[in-house]
Amino acid sequence: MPAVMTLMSALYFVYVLTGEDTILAADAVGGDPGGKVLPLTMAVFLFLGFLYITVKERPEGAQMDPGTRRLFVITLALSVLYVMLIRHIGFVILTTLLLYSLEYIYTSLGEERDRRQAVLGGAGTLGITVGAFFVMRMITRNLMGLARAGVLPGIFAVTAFEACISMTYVGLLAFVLQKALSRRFTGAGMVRIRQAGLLTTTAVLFLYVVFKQFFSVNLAAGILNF
Amino acid sequence: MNDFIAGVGLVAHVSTFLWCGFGAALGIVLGALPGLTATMGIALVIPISYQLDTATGIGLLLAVYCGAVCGASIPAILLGIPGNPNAIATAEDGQLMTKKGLAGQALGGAVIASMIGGLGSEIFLIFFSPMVARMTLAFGPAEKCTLALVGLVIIAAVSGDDLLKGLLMGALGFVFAFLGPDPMSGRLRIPFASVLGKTPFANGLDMTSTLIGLYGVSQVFFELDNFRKPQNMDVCTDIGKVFPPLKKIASMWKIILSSLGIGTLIGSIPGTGASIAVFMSRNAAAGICEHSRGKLDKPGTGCLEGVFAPEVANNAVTGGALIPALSLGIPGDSATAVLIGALMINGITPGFALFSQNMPLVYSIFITLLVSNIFMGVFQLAGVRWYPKILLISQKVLMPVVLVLSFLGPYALAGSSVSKGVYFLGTALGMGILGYFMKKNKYPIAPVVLGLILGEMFEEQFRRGVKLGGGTFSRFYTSPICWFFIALVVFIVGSVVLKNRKKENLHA
Repeated sequence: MPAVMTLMSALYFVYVLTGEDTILAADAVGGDPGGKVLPLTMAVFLFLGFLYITVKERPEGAQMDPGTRRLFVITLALSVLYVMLIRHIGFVILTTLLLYSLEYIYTSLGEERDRRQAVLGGAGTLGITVGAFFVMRMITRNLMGLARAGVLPGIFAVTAFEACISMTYVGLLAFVLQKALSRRFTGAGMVRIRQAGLLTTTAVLFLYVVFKQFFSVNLAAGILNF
Repeated sequence: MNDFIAGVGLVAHVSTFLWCGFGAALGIVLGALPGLTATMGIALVIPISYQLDTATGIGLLLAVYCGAVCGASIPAILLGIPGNPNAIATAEDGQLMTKKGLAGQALGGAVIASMIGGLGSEIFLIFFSPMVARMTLAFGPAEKCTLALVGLVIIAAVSGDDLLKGLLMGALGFVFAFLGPDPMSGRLRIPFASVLGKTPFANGLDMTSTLIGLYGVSQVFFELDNFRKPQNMDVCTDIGKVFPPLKKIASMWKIILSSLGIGTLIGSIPGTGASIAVFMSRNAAAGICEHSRGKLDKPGTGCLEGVFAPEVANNAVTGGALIPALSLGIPGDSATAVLIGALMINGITPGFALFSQNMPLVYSIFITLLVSNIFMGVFQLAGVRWYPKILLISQKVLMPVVLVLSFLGPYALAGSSVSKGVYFLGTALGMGILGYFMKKNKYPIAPVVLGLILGEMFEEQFRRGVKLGGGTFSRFYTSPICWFFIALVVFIVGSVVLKNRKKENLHA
């Protein structure tokens, strides 16, 4: 790291030095040292400091073991894909895939894995999450519509109340799924898939309700734009 | 009085209380789970606090802070592993009490002690912070610039074992701040301005995304190393009686008062931190016990005294640390550094302006801190029997959720702009990777954060100071306050260098 940082600080120094000064024409006689002084000072300090550490410190021998390195690369690759694709695919689908994948990969470390089962579990989780999301949106939209039409009391048109209904729905869904799936999937491998899937569905829907319905954050709709 | 009533008006909403309660509960859980910290918790809830009204948002942040400090005592007592360094001194007596079958009393005692510490130190905070803030009236640009330098040097000195690494990280934080537009002319300084100038990067690095990346995302990558290590599942589930006898608590009044004083004082000195306060209070408690003619048990023997002293002190540090944080903008530790950043993101700049122009908000901060401490106590006492279950949650299950939350936070700040959200997400991920390599190579993160927070102010005040001196540094070397601050910097650097030399000599 110190060697890379030494190089970076040298590049930063060159970048600041070759850039335009940000001093205002009116300040030329007023004594403003300009916008380059401090960045250049910091660049020099960083360069000298990191150079000293590079020369003085021996690189530590403790490297990542291959297993951890693989985990690091997988996590990083999934994170980069998440950042790049969220605008196009959308929050619900992409977060489900990211969360399920990481939950499954992490919890099954050192255990025997059945890839087919894991992929099917992922597909099932995605299906359940998207389906539950559609139902949730339908419920809230229809309740809001009915309230606006005067069929239901006005409180049903209040966003926070709708969010509370959604939150209750997510809680009930998690309870029902837990009960239903725990009877069916009992093998060691299946339990991991079930737990990863259940946590994923609940977390994604819960976060959607909190951020989208409570705080009106524009979570990318992506392909679920309806 | 009118300001106080206006302050009460700012927080007299059910939602404020609910968010404080939520924050306290979340903080307790974060503090209890090894690997998750108060600093990370504050960073993760910044986006939520930003969506709330200012007083409620700050209440949420403070509640997470207090809850996490208190929650760290749970694994210290039940597992003998402190949730964070603040609970190191609690671990010995707490674990011994657990082995004696008194886990409930240790947990209950820790909560009561934390409440006493938190509430007691708040009295000092209410009394002293306006006084300290008033002192800053005499500050001009040169003084403000050197004060920022003091803050940075302090955090660099206490954040790690290597002062140079801390200072370098502080300088890196400044560089990150200097990527934003020139504070005087407004001209863009971001590299590749023709491309990045049309993006949200034109305004420099987003502070929240950077905070979340450095503390949240980096932690996920950092914990990957521990996934293959076996998790300690040997958690005591037999909690027993929770409330310690009132008579016993009353008999410890001297320990409580000394720990409260030590915690508040140490907390209010920037850079000292709770880990020093807890040991000092424990030593003081040992002295008091020695002179108690057998009425009190000596810490280290698995007694309530050994839990009470550090727990009063570490929560008293929270109130004490807020004195320089709110009045001067100088943090005492990484958690308060992030807290200052969070306040600034919520539109509040600590310092005299806050106390002179927005006193109702200051009162609202005090009230929410009080409410948070009460919620912290109630929730921790109410949930005593669930803690062993919380401690059994695996890092492997938690970390993906932390990663998603870390990604969602920056995204939430972008509001209705999806493309802006993507830029913030990218920043968080980039900073997460940088934070990971920093942690791996033992570079402290807090100075980067503080450098980023103070950088713009530092540069602006520096240039104003030089300008006022007619292009010279005369404003800096003619001001006694500047001399005092510079002397403080020299003293801090000197004492850290000496301390490190002593350590090296001992090892040799």
